[in-house]
Amino acid sequence: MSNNPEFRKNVWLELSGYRVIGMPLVIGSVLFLAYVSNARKFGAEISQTAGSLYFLITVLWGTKLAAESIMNEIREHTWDGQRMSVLTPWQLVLGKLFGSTIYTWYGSSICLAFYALSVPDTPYARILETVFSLVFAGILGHAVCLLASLLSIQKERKFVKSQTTAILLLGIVAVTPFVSLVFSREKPATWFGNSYGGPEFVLLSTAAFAAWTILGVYQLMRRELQMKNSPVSWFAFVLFMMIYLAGFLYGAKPGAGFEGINPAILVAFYVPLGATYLMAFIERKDPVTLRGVEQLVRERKAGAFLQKAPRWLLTAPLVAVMAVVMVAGNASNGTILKTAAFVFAVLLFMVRDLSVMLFLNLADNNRRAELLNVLYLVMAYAIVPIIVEAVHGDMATVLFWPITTQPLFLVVVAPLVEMAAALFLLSGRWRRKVAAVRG
Amino acid sequence: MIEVRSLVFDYPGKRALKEVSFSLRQGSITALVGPNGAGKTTLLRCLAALEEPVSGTILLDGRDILADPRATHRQIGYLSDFFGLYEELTAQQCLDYAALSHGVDPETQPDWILSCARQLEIDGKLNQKAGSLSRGQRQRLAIAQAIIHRPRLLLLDEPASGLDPESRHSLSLLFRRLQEAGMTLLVSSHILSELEEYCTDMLVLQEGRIIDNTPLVAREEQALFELRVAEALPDLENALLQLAGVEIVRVNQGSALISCSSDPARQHELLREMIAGGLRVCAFGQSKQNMQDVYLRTVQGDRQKGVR
Repeated sequence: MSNNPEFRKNVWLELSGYRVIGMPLVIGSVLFLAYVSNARKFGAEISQTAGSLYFLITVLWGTKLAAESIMNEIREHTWDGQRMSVLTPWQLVLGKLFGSTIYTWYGSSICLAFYALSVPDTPYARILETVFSLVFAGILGHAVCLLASLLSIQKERKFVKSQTTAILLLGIVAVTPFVSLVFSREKPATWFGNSYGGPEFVLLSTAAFAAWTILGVYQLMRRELQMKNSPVSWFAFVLFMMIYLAGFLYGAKPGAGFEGINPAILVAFYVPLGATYLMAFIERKDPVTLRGVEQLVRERKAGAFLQKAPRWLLTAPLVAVMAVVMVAGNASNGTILKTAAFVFAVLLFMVRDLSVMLFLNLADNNRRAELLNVLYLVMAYAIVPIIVEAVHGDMATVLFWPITTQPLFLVVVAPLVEMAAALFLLSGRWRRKVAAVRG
Repeated sequence: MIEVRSLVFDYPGKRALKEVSFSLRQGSITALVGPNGAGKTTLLRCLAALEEPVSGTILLDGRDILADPRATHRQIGYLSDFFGLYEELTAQQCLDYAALSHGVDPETQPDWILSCARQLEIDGKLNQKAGSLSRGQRQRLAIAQAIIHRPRLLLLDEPASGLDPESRHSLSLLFRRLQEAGMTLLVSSHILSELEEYCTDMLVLQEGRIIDNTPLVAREEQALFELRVAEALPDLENALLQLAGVEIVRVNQGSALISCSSDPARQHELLREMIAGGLRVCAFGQSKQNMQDVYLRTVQGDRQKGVR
């Protein structure tokens, strides 16, 4: 790592003499205070204080530094210099992930050492598990910030202070459940019907999510450096999430309204669906990007298409595949028509929503397109259906939700008409936009 | 050295570069000029492989930079108009980082840094923090970062903006030295008088199109002439347009600045044609040609073509 120029630069920036001396002094003072206030006992009070300090330093402060590491390069106009360098994506990712947060890791390691030495009545193996879980949780939080920063600048290359704050909050939100699980995880976890020790499961889960996030940062960094990216990692991540979440619902009974559908398969169906919506929000949807993709389709360049197509566009077919799996899985239990109507309606609603999102993004004044997208989804799935249901009764809800308690014909036809209307609007705006750019 | 073919770049709602094609000679210093919004910065960023165009090819010594941008970054240096420095690092650390991140061999790195710092006359400032340097020194440090890996092509976007006249002059000398060392430079600037000091070629970009790419030395075959008529003539422009080999740089009812052949015999011929055509010429003398005039002539000529 010390040969990594990016890491070395961050060390120069973060580790000055005064700061190196200051950190142990502050941590030592706080821990000494805890020691004195606990009748000079080196035990639970110290370990709790050290754990809290770890949270403060790594999660709150470290995520701040990670969130700022790329956004500050944009603000100070040094990012182009890095993109013009010959540093590899891994050098940049690891240099930023561990370099920009080096000072907080310096403090965190002191806290973790005190935690490990002072935690009472706990086997060494358990202490090590906790320490590693906390370290992975910290890395996860920092990596989430880098991921969010890269996604943000790839959508719009500008520095907005509120955006950095949002990225910081996202990092904290991502890491807090893992940290709280580390400190409260004596209960075993049941996954695919097998029981696993709580601490071990939390440790492996945290490590896995940290690794996936770092891989995501690496992929985005490659894109930032104009390198080609295959979608394999993305599909592998979606598959991992499908399996990981399905494991918790394996063997569970179907919920009301989903009779005959295996909950594990249902959740595996929702994962690519959720990923499609999420990426549709996050990724660029401007005419230049979309026209580039259209051009690749016209020229039948499959390889380049897979590299450059927005991930939501590539994930949507996976939703269709999972829909077929769900219907096929129900072929023998008498609810096949109901299941087919449900998944087909979900697919139609998805295409409708994606069309509307693109339609809003292709507007001449699209500065608030993402906000409008959120508003649209809230209106389409929450506010309007509730009002309509209250006024016209249950049957009208087929216009908004894939509800199979209504006549199955209507469950499919209603979203089909809506999808056709949305596609019609989108195609009109798309043609106008393309004509405008070509002049 | 650099060959650009049919480069097209789009921003959402606007085509910034329209089928741009040109080439740069090895060892040349080319001025990239054009009105604001002409696409100069976009073009430089495409050449630096920082932006991906919609279509087109950019060849650096025959190698497509868009196919493998990272490989060509070893051979290209780029100074953006809004360059940045790590304010809390010393100039030495800034150059160390630039050298390491551009793959300079660690063994030769100290020598390269020192030689670069001397060339930029910042060798006495290496222990100062970048944030404490003056505007001119910061500019020099940024250029030093851009050339630390000894690139073959150096792209500079408004490198002299904000500098005092003395710093600008020494920047001109530096560019000449870099050219003498074999580097090819493409410099975007609005300060034409300054570009004139060191540029060998001029590339004029207007509304996303290259409207001129001629070596400035070839222009010496042309000369600028100041023309005055004895009384105001509303149709002077049309009268001058009738003359073969004459380009109008600027014109009003009483005078004009025209470009024509530098051959004295042709000038004599031209004067005779004007008088024979009824123009009451009272003064006809050579005017000093400068880049400003060449630029204006090119841009206005292009606009006239557009009007016609």
